[in-house]
Amino acid sequence: MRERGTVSRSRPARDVGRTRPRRGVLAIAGAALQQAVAYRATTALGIALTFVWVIIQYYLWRSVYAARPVVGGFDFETMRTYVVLAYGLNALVGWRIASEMMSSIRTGAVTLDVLRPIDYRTAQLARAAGWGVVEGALSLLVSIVVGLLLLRISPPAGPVELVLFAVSVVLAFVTKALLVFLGSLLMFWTTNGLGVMWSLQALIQVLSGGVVPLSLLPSAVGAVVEVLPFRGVVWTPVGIYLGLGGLGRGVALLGLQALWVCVLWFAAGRAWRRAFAAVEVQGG
Amino acid sequence: MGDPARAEQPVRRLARIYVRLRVLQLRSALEYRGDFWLSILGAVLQQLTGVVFAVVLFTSVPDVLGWGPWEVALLFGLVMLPAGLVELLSDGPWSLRTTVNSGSFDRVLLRPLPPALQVAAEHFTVHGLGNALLGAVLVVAGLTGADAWRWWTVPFLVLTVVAGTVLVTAVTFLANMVVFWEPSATSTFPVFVVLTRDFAKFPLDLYPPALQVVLSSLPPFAFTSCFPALLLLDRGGSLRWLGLATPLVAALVALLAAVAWRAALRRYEGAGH
Amino acid sequence: MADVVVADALTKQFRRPDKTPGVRGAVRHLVRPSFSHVEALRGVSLHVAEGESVAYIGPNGAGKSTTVKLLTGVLAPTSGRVRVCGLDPYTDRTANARNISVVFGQRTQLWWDIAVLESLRLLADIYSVPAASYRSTMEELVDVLDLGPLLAVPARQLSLGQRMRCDLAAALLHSPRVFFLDEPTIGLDVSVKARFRDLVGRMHRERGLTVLLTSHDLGDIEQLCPRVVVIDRGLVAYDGAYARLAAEAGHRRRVVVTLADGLPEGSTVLSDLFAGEGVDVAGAGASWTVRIDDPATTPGAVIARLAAGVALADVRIEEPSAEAVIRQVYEGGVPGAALSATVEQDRGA
Ligand SMILES: Nc1ncnc2c1ncn2[C@@H]1O[C@H](COP(=O)(O)OP(=O)(O)O)[C@@H](O)[C@H]1O
Ligand SMILES: [Mg+2]
Repeated sequence: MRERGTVSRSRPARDVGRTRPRRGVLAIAGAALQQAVAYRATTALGIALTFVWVIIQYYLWRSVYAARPVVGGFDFETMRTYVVLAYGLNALVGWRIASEMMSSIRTGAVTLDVLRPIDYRTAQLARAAGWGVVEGALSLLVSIVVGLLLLRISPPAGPVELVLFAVSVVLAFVTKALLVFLGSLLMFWTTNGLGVMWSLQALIQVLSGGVVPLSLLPSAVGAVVEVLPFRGVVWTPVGIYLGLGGLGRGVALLGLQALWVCVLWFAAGRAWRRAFAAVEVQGG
Repeated sequence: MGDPARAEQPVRRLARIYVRLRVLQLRSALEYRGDFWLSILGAVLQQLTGVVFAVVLFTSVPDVLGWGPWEVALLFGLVMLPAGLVELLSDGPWSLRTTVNSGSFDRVLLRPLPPALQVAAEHFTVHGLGNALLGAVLVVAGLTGADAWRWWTVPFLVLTVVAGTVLVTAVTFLANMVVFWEPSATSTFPVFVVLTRDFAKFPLDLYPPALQVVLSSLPPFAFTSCFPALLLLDRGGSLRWLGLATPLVAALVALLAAVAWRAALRRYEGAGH
Repeated sequence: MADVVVADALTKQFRRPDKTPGVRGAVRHLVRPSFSHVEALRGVSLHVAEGESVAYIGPNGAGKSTTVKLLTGVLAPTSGRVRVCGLDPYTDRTANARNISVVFGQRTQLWWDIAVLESLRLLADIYSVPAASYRSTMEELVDVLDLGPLLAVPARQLSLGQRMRCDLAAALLHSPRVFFLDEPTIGLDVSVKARFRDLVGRMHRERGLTVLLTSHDLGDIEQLCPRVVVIDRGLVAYDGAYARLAAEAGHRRRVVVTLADGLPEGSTVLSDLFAGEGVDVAGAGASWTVRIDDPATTPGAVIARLAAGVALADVRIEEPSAEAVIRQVYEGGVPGAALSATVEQDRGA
């Protein structure tokens, strides 16, 4: 009931706001950025925290490669590079953003966000971007620097690949943020944010290639996962960075990644309206 | 005073009340049925990422430093089973940061029960069920696949898992107790400490010597999985006999936790409001 | 001595970390921590006899909750001595816990998701209440607190007032000898507050409970506690009967009347009725106020005198505002020496 009231009252405000939506988006992103900076100690610890898994994988692969030069088409250097980049890319949209989205939906900040003269989806993405700039970019940077200096990962395959990689990283960020957004909509029906978040993160991790290179998966599974949107989070940008399959393939992969971003963008809008309407009907 | 209820053996009374508190928390958890299953699903999926990694690894290579898939499954299981049991039996320390900072820890000091028991019984995290079951399956599968069952395997396993559960409980208490000294509203420190047990899901000789020493001491998670696994799998030379030391190490860590807990209680000042 | 609560010269200092904001400050604090000390209590002495009901009042931050925490064994005093029912509450925490009970306003000790009855059963088990006395106590509590319809309801579904009743039951189930209430009525609405006071009052009388109630809600004190201890900035500023406090502070009861026929301002018609008595008359038109300055004069006598002289449309007796009385104590308006002298006398009464 209350929500319906807010929505109808918000309509005039929305139309007025439409004239300058960009300002609003930047404001939201800026606010999130400041928040992330304020929590930088926690953020930094969070980065260190997930690094445990990078260390484990590094030593594990080192032992594996001690006995053989190539595994699944990767040599040790490529695999090291993959492990470090996969970690950094996954951190682009970290726990923090996901839990922010979920709690904003659960605690009814939803109604506030709906009041803003900006599409809800955009608002959430803007907020994620604010956090992402600090948390995600920081961990990506840290992992690349640490990787280049300590773990001696490969540099990008070439300057063009580096540019494509940068574009792909942005798309990877949007892809994961939209996936998390879609998952967060479950918060309309359950209060168990932790359960949702764990399931979601685990699915994205495995299907994006964040746990193992997708090329190592059994071929039947691999064929399916290769075309799903999840690969855009890790597997596509890493492939481009490493120059796997050459430039032409890199551009094609970038196209697929962009296509999925569009699809997810519209799906997110539809799902959001549906979820919101469903809850409204229930009188929540 | 002479009332009959107090004549009951103190330990039995405490055990009974502890069980009652647990059952009650389980029933509260079941009140939210959807959440209940979602929690289990989330935890199992999360653990499965590690399992997926191991499975894919071993479809590409036959072994790592002579450890095959079954041997590594045993390690995974020996880490996850005690971890799951701790989540089921004593997950309360994770809320210490909130209760201490809000001052609701006062209540714990006002009841005629040992504070540690109340804290341990505070929460019931159903996802422990998923972890414990998955862990048990992996232990059994690992031992069977490696063809490593012997007459003493079962009693040794029970001893190891019980000691491992004590060890992880003590470490969980120790990691979360820091709130009494460092009262900031959030902290990643305890999560970090407990996450280092992921190292123990793989053979210890993977890591450089310095890291091996850390894993056997600070916190000594290697004693829950790596060393007992050596003994169970009949490998690793004389290092395997460290597997027998798990109960001793668990007792030492528990003692340390008890001493620290006393200091923590003395340190408690309530919340200033 | 039948004093169940004995506190002598209690002091309590809290350590408060001096932190400069920001990362640099946090790091500096880690390397060389520095603390300043907050003196919450600076020498509080308090003796409460068995069966007494005492209000412990003071402004925010005066040290009320700290005193309760020292008396209940949650915290140890920095110096001084505490005995509750003959035990040191801090070192004998478990034994002491069975003798006392504490209710904190707005904090429930019931388990959120389970039926109230089950919470109560569990508490009875925790406190080792024998089956027979559990039955009889429950019967009494259910009756007095009217818990019947609430027992099957989970605590999270109770209204604040209902929860307060259930929390009272939870607190009294193990038949404590001393009952501490720390700001119990905070956040309750007026009618629930009145009901609550009534219930605590009944428990106090019927079970011979010793009650110590902290509050800055003055309604609590006037209705529940003949004895008042005022604390300010960690020191006891007054200890004695509330009535006496009001008198010492120079606050008197007043009779406020509305006359059937108005009188011009400055008229002496009314004051002439009280020639030579210790009252002060003021007013204009229909509404007049008679302030009673002489403790020997009763409001009844004043009203009788007025009714005999003029036609009254309405009469009201105003108690001195406790708020004003207490404020005067804080502001040092009451001579401390005179008050301390009254303490022993009042406690005997
Ligand atoms: N745990 C604590 N740490 C630091 N200062 C505290 C703590 N508890 C209380 N104080 C301070 O001690 C003083 C008295 O507090 P308190 O007893 O809670 O007051 P009251 O209950 O009368 O409002 C206040 O200045 C308060 O800030
Ligand atoms: Mg207080």
